[in-house]
Amino acid sequence: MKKLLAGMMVAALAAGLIGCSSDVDGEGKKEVYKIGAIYSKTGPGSPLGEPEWNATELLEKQINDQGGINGVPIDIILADDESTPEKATEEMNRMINDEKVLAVLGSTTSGASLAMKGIAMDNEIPLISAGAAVGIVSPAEESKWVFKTPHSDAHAVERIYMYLKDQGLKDVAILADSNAFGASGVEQLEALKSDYGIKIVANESYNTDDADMKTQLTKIKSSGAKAVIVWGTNPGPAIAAKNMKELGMDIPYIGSHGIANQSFIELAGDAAEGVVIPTGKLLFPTQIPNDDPQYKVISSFYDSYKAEFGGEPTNFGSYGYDNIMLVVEALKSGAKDPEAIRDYLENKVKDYVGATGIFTFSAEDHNGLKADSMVLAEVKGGEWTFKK
Amino acid sequence: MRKGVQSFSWKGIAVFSALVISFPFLFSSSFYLTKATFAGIYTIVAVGLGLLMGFAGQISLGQAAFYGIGAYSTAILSTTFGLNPWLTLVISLAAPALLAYLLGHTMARLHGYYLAMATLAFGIVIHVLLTEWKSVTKGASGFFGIPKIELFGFTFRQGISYYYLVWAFALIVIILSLNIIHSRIGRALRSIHDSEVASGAMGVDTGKYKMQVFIISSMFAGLAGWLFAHMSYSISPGSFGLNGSILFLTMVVLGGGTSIWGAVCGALLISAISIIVHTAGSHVSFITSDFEQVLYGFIMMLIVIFLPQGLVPAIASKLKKQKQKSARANKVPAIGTVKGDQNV
Repeated sequence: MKKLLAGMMVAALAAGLIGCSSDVDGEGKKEVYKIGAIYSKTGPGSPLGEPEWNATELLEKQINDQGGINGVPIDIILADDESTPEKATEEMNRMINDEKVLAVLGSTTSGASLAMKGIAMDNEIPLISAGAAVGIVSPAEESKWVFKTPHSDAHAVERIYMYLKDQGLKDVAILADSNAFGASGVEQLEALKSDYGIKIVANESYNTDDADMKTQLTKIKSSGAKAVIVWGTNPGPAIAAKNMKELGMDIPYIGSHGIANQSFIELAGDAAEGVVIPTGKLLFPTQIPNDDPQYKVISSFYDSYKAEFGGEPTNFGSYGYDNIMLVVEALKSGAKDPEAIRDYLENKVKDYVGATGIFTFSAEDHNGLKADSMVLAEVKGGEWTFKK
Repeated sequence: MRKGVQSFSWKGIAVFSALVISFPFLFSSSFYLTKATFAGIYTIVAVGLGLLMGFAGQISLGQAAFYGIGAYSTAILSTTFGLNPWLTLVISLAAPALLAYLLGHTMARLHGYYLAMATLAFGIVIHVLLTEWKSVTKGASGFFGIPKIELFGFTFRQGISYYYLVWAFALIVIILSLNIIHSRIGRALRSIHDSEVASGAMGVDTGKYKMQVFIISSMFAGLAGWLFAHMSYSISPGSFGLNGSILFLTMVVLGGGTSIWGAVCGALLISAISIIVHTAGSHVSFITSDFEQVLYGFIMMLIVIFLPQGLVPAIASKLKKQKQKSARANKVPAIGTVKGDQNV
């Protein structure tokens, strides 16, 4: 029995040893900037994490091809957290203590980002997240080392409410996914409604895998709502759009930035026509006016991404882009240790033009974006078009 | 406790403890240390589930729910209400126990598949509750701001200190469980596992013992939840869903439920597999983390087909057969080993 146990332990340990020996790098003592990046390449978060992962790989190559940062190459260590906080915790510890990185980027999902936040704070290593939840960078005193680049749901909600106010639509219904993304959206929709004089007359939810939402939509129909806000990621919102058409509901359909991709239109077909969403500008790089301050950044990133990977970078690609570029900015300025990078991000990033928006970080605001960095998009003729 | 009862060998515990203590010195890498810390947490759940499956013959597909209740009770009480984590440990043990007690009453008449279905439903209900009760659990994006465990001014943070904290609890759980199965309760439980009707006819109060072990297994899961919550800054409902329950089940089936060491080895092996996949993945591009799931499934299939009692009991009984062929008839089984094949 004991022998057996010992044998098993030895086997497990041996497996570990193989891992150890391979981690030794044979490069010698050449100077290199090591940065960790943890994104959800697999698991439920992969549609979001993959463009982030690709963007990171692409930029590492581009930067090193151009001779690195002030002549020093960067080495980005990419890791997949499989969309789970446990794996993210393991990888975060590896990045900080084993790889000794200067900063960590990621992760894709809010749950994993929050788990990593605790470790970043304990070890005093800057973390730039691509997660949506506001809790990643608030409260400010608990988020000294943590930044995030994606729009917060509050930005998207503000953008929607501004639009509804313009259109004179006051009574709205909500149909939201019951997952983290939907929950966070509903929270912000509730929190900001009074600022814009909006009344929520129905608040329904669905499960991520639901194939039919007619029950919820029938309730919304009878509630007298003048518009419906659907908060979720594919395929749920597409099903809702189809069901609305089947039920003959012709009130305006406002989506979230979670469906800012071509697959929503493919899934919803005709029913997608007229759907309006708030989004980052990377959704339609060719439609952005030439005089837009982000035009240059977005079009060059879009073109090189498309050339390298074939697919669309989507808004998530822009989070991957901004995360790495912010650290690069700090390194360019001469920040060479975690603390200097953090200080640079908090104090020196003012009106920085990124792919997601224009960033101005401060001690209280580690997200750095405003609602006007989002624009409205509408489906016209089977394509997302820039509205107004 | 050990009077008149075949006592377990302290040697096994000693060897295992030595391995546990020396691990951080052999592997200083933070990645392995974090893996090993999680493995310790999973071991606690798996040992509890092993007691339930291997000794009481009950299947629980809702173990992650007890684990989640333990984690969320302590997280909410220590963060929202500012209680000391050591105080909330009591709640993390009591809340799952109370639920198991209530559940046990309603499930007392359920057997086999029906019990599995009931616990499965319970697991789903709890997962939905954790996700939807937003005012308390902060919903799907996760509950955050959880304080660290402190003891005499020392703060347990992720790393070596937390590794030892987790494994200290894991060793206590293992010793406790070994004691239980070598006591009167243990023998009663094994008789229930083999034939509930027969043991009932012999005067064993099957309902009572089944209930007791169900409560114990839920408390172990709650303890693991407590350790898991205070390890991190945040927890989210995703960690406590059906996937978690199935993973715990896999650990027990892999290692073998009829031995406490089986559940321990199962938990360690699952962690080792994920390390191997991780290492292989960094060298071979097509090996992604999805491989893990495939590998678990494959191993599970092989185990169920060829070694239905699980790895540890199967190998142990083989070793025994070779060594003590002649003396086998009058020999009592070694630590926690029951030869399933004799009883089927």
